This record gives sequence, structure tokens and C-alpha cells, in this order.
Amino acid sequence: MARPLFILTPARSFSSVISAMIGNHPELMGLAETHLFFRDTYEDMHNIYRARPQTQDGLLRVVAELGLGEQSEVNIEAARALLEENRHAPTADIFADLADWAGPRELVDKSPMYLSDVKCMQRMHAAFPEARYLHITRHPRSTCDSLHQLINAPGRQKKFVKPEDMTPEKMWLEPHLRVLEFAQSIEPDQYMRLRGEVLMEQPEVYLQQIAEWLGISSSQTAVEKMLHPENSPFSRFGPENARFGNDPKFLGDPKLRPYKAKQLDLEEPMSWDPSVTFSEMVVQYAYRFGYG
Amino acid sequence: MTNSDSAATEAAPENDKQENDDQGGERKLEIGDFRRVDFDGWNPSIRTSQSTIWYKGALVVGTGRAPLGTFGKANADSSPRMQGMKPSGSGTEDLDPYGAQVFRFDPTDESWQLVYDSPVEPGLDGKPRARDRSMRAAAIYQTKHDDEPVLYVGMGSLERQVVFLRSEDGVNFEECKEKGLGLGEDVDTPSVRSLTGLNGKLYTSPTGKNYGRGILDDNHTDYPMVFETDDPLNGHWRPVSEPAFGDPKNLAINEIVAFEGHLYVATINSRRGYQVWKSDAKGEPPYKWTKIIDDGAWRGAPSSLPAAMTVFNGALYVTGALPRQGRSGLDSSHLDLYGPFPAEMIRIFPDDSWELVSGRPRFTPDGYKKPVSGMLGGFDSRYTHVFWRFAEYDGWLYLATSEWRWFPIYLTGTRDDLSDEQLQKLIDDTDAYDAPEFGLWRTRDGAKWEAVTRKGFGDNPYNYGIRELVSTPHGLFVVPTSTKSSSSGGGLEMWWGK
Repeated sequence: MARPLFILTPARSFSSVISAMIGNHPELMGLAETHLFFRDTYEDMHNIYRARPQTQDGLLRVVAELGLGEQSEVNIEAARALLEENRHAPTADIFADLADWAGPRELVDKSPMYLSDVKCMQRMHAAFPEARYLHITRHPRSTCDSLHQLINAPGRQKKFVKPEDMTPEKMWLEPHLRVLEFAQSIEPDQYMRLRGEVLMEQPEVYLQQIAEWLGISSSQTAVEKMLHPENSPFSRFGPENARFGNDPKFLGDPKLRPYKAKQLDLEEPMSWDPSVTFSEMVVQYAYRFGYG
Repeated sequence: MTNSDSAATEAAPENDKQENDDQGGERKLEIGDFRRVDFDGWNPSIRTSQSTIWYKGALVVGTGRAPLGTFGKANADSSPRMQGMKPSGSGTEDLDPYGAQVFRFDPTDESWQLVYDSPVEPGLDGKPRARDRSMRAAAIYQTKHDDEPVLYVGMGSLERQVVFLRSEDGVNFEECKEKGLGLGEDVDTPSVRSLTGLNGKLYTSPTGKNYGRGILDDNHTDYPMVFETDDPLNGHWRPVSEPAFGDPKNLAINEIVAFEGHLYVATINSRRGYQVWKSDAKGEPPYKWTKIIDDGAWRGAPSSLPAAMTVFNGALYVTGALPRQGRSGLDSSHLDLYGPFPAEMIRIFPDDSWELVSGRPRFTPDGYKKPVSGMLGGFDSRYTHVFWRFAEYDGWLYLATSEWRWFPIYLTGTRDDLSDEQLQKLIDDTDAYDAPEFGLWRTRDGAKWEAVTRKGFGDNPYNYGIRELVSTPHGLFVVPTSTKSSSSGGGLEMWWGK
């Protein structure tokens, strides 16, 4: 039985670079964003693909790379056809096929969409009872600022964003609460939480520990490979018919750069709206996660 | 003096009593080895012992009462669920004349003797009132000015400043001269939690804020510094550390222990978790201090409070917990409303390396830490609030705990952070609380822990934890703490295991 690693983190919380780093371990295979556990079957995913076609890119690229040998335009279309042939397949079965193709390497998967509903995580657990889950946090201020900037970037479609969703509760707290709820339902050694900032500041220190937790080599050689997220086949733009599958900013510049966390407060209002401050509950959970 | 009830819960089979486990070591105590020591001589205000110590052939039992009328005002009235759990009988005017007492218990003839009673003085409002609230700390130590090891105790004050007492026989106590730890007679230094000797000097640190602030500040201080003196009788206290070790989030120094020729000092830090600092206390003060544990052993705010520290088999054991005080608006840390969070434990070695003993695995700057006990926080119970007291007896380290559920502050808010299922589970668990539920655990090696009891001692429903645990040549003494004073049906108990 495969033991994939799922990285659980809200959007704009270092998920792309962290997943690519961990997934570059010689015994692991980091994926582009497949979003597979967002729905029960591949057919159910089509509503999402219709609304946001780019959300399919990651899965197409992964099937092309692992199942067909490389990410070419031809293989992307072949992957699309293959998936359509198995339109009614449970998404968990598709993921199991990916795991078989990648074997003996274990898969590393992440999608911020998984944190929108605890059912996504329950699907993972039902399909892979021995999977591991790495919960990555980021300071609520930088998470919210980054999300706000992303959503308001020039040319960005805003039709999927409701104003009532642009609160720290919706953007930062609620996704984390869903992870915490899910974590209560699994064995303690299947779940670890880490502040993304400390991993980014000292990747050598924490990548080695993550490898130790996963029971894979924590040698210097293995860690050195993890320090090069740019070497993943999914750390670059894909062919024209499946360009994305990850944060475009990361795809354009996937190298690991020195990082120093900023000193951030929890008292000041949001940068984009002086009337919005962190609620008491957000502040307390920020303390709980180490942002006091 | 007569003896009474034997503990009836979790009594071990008779043939287990003489057996040692596979770790070897001396005989271990089972719950059936404990019996209650009867005594009803406490004054009606007494509900706890915050300090008890073995000295010159007798147990010196310090006792304490609640502060003046402040307990639970902020929280206990706010939820129907809290009714009936609210402490009472404390802080009422009819208890004003009653304060801390110290008794001497001689186990050879089981006699009790009152050896100290708080003086009654005009209170801040002019009414007669006990001066001392509780004996909060004690140490036996020979400073440069003592001819032999003598007993020093810190008497926490109801309204004013801590008073240190000195005794050469455990019967007669004299007041040390200086108050306010040398800072002056008008500073707010109501109590101390720790007294520790090293290099011929006595060390302590103030705790609490009396002046109009009460129990919500019982764990904090305006002076989070380490103080020393080599002449406690005459005072001469002086600070030997930078205030708060330079970190304004350090709100107090809660524990001070001497280990391998160094002082180890643990701070309360509500925002990020407790810190442990170390110094050889040599040279000219302020001494050089090194931080060896940060951020509540990298658990964060749920380990704000270093509740206990002790040395056992070459390691320093430190426990972390979250104070349950509902501090909304005071320092913006009231994570307890989003609890419960179980107590945790680490152990530190002389080379500053450390291990997680009980707690959730974590990544840290010092490596990946898994609990050596194999148990999560609270020894696998999320409702274990504090790992409160340690004592080594017959080669075993014993650990006393307290409970969250007798005072479920985590159910006083709306808990919008929880799903319906999570909330219902919390309510069901809390409703299933069957007092008394607190534990006594033991270990021979610090890694493998066994429960002596998870159901407290006896059946007193007001007892919610063990506040004192004292090893003596005559056995192990256990002093539970009560939600109610003796005038309200609670009061102090003492259990004797041998």
C-alpha cells in the first residue's frame, strides 16, 4: 500500500516550493497540483475544469510524465484521452495508478483546494490509510496580504472571489481549522505541523527532519537534492496545452532563495482595509501556531 | 491523631506490591499503599498547600487560602456549565482573619503541631485581616551566614509583600528583615514560587501582582528577575539577571532549580511558550545567562507556563502547561478559551541537549523530537491540565497531575473554531467528568511511565489535582488541592504512601 505525503496548507503559504523541495528527495516524487481528492470521481472534476481549465493542467502533466514518459504536447493529449476513457473512475484509483507509476518512490501531493472541505482530506485517508500529512502554516498577515495581492493582480479574474471571503477568518483560519479537525481523526505519527517560515529560513535543518519523520534517507546527499526544487519535472511551465499545474510565479522562478521571515504583528488592520483587523480567534490560533 | 480511609481506587493486586518492573529499582508504591492522614485543625480558609517540605524529622506542611474575592469573577458566572464548579468560601469577609498556617507533622507518632499562623494586621481598607495568604516556597539551605542547613520559606501576602521566614528547627520561625526583595517597601512583590540554593547563596524571583489586580495576575510580576542573597535573614537581595532576560514577553520566572553546578530558570511566556535559561551564577551580577529552551520547547503558547522542574537521574525534567485564567483583555493571551491543551514534559541534559518525554512529535531547531515515553501530551489524555509536582522516592520519580474538566473554561465561549462534532465530543467528555480525576504517575528511567492512579485519592469531589508531593524517610506524602476551603466542605487532605 502506497504511503503518499500530502502537504496541507492554504494558498500562498510556501506550498509550491516546499512541495517541490520535499518531492525532490530521491525516494519521493513530487507532483504538480492534481486536485484529485477534491472530488470522488474524475467525472465530478469536470465542473471545475469547465470553470477553470487550468486546474486540469497539473493532472495532465503528471499523467504524461509518469504514465507516458515525458511532458510533450502529444503526451498531454494522450493523457487527456486516457483520463476521458476512465471518466467514471474514482479519483483515488487514478491517484493509486500514479503511485504505481512512480513506484518505488512515494508521491508528494499538495493542493490548497483540499483545505476548502474536510471531506477532501477524508478521501485521502480512506484511499491511503497510511498516508502522512504535513501541515504548513504561515503568519496570517503575510498569508492574507499575499492572497489579496494575488486576487487583485492585473488581469486576474475576480468572478470566483466573493468580498465576504476576503477576511482573515476565511483566508487563513478556516482552512487551518479543517486540517486540525482532520488531524484528530488520524494516528499522531501521520501528522506533523510546521511553520513554513522556519523551514524556508533553515531548509537544511528541517528537510532532514521531515525525511527522518517519513522514514526515508536523511543523508546529506538526500537533503542536498531537496534543496533544488528547480530540478523537479513540474518546476517549470508545461507544454502549451498544459502550461500550469502550480503557482505561475513559482513556475517562472523555482529556485530556492535565501529567506528571512519578517517581524509581523497581529494588532494592526489589514493593509488593504483599515476597518478589518484580526479577530480574537485568529489571534489566538496564531499564538497556537507560534506567531505570538 | 488517627488514620482513616485507605485509597480504594485502582488498588493493585497484593502480589504486585513487592514486584519491581523490568527496569529494576526499589519497591514502587501502588494506590493501595496510600491512606489518608486525618486532620481537621486547618483554619476555615485553607484549601491547599503550595509548599510542603521534609525538615529535621518532620513534615513541614505549609497551607494556603484563596486570594481576596477575585477567583472566577471573570469566568465562572458566564456559563451555566460552570455553575457548581465555581470555587466558594474564599474571599468573603468572615474569612478575613484567617490566613496561611504552617503545621509540623511527625510521622513517628502522627502528631500535628501548629508552628506558624499568619499574623492579623489592618488590611489596606483598615479592617483586620490575615497578612499571609500562603506558604508558597521552601528550601533547606546553608548560606554563607548560616551555621548549618536551615529552613527558609516564602510567605505569600494577601495584600502586600512576600515575607521570608527562617527556621533552625522547623518549630520556631523568625521573620527575615528585608521586604520587597530589596526593591523597596512599596513595590508589588506579593509572593515567590521558588527558593533554591547554589554557591552559598539563596535564589528566588517574585510572582503575582497584588495591588488591586488579584488572581488573574497570580502568575505574573512586574519584576521578572532572578534575585540572590547570601544573607537571607538580613535581606540583602539583589537582582542577578536582566529584567525578563530582555524579552518583554517573559511575564515571570516560575521555576528555579540548581543542577550540575548551574541555575536553571524557567520563564512564563504567554505569547510564545516558556523559556529555560541557564547560568553558573559566577562573577559579578548580572550573570551571564544562556537560553537553552525556547518557545515552550517549540510547542508554542500552549506551553506558556513551566509548571514544574526537578532533577532525576542526571537530567532536568521540565513540564509545560497553559494557565487557565481566561485573561481576555489583560495581555491578549487567553488561549485557554480554545482548549483544552494537555500538559507536556521534556528533559534536559547537562550538555543542553534535550528530549521530549510527553507531547506531540515536532520539528525543532534541535532536531526531530518524538516522545521517549511514547505518549502524547498529558500522558495521552488531552484533559490532563498540568504535570504539577515531582518527587523522587525509593528510586522512582513520581509525578502528580491536575485536570482541565473541573473548570471547563474552554466551553464558556461560542467555540466557532470547532465543528459541531468536535464541540459535541468536548461537551460529552466534559459531562463525563467524574470527580476526582487526577493522576499520580511513576517512572524508574524517566521514559517508561506507569499510572499509580488516574482517579485521584479517595472520593472527595472537590479535589482536582495534587499540589504537593514530598518524599520522606517515612514514605511519600501526597497533598491534593481543593476547589473549596474547609469552611465550604472542601479543605486540605494529606495522603501517606509507604
